[in-house]
Amino acid sequence: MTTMERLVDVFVRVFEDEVPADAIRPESRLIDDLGLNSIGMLYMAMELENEFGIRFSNEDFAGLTTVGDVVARVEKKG
Amino acid sequence: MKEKTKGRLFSFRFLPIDLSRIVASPCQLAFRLKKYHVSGEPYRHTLKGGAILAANHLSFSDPFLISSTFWYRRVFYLAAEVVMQGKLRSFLLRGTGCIKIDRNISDLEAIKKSVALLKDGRCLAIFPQGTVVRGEEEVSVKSGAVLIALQAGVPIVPMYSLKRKHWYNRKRMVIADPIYPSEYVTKKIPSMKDIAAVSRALQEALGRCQELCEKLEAEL
Repeated sequence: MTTMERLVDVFVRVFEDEVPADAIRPESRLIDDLGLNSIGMLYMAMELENEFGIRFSNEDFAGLTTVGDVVARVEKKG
Repeated sequence: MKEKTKGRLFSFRFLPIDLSRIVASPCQLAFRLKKYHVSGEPYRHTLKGGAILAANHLSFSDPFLISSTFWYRRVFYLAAEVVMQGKLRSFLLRGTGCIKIDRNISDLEAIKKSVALLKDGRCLAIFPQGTVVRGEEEVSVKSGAVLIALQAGVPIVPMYSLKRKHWYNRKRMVIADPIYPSEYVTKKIPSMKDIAAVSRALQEALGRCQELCEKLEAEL
């Protein structure tokens, strides 16, 4: 499975039908397009840490705007 | 090493916190606190293990009130960035068990520190409304406390107090039964819907505590 596919899995698990799987594309904006709030962002980060076995710091987390940004950050960390 | 400090009222590992508890002990006299269960009966439960204390936030004396309520526990606090401004204040508050959370960003590190503390069997007080609410306005609870509780696998204890009519009145604290977030989780991994469900339950429990608190104050 690619990083993107695993990330979509995490999103579907956490957000269920609030974020449809087909809406999760690299260019999708986390807040504006997918409708994530601050708690959603935090929870997503924690689940990504569990899924990929990585650790995010606040600096890593800042500046993540799109799904593509998240994929790039996870790949850099992993 | 960590386990050895549990169940002890005083420990060198938590020297600043324990000293602050001694310094703040006259608060017990000032508040002359009376604890009620949400049913209206006197509160007789003993808090054991990791737990989140979720209280309403009326004034900056609330941390003293919460520590007085559970005087036999070392209570840590999640404190907003505005409270921790200034090097000296930040140093003192950190020493006395405050974890700084920056509300302007998604403060992942503060959440992880809180989860680690709770997994270690400690008590963490959070004001889930996220700010001081002095007036009559209704401020809904934020989901941060629920997210932390779910990640740490600990219960949330809702508690509510009101301002005293006169300085000589006894302070009243109404405490509800603990909410176990895991009971609201429908799947192996909690979803945002589960978090929202627990947040609603917390809001309702705080509402019930508020009702009793207002009734008790009106009877004075």
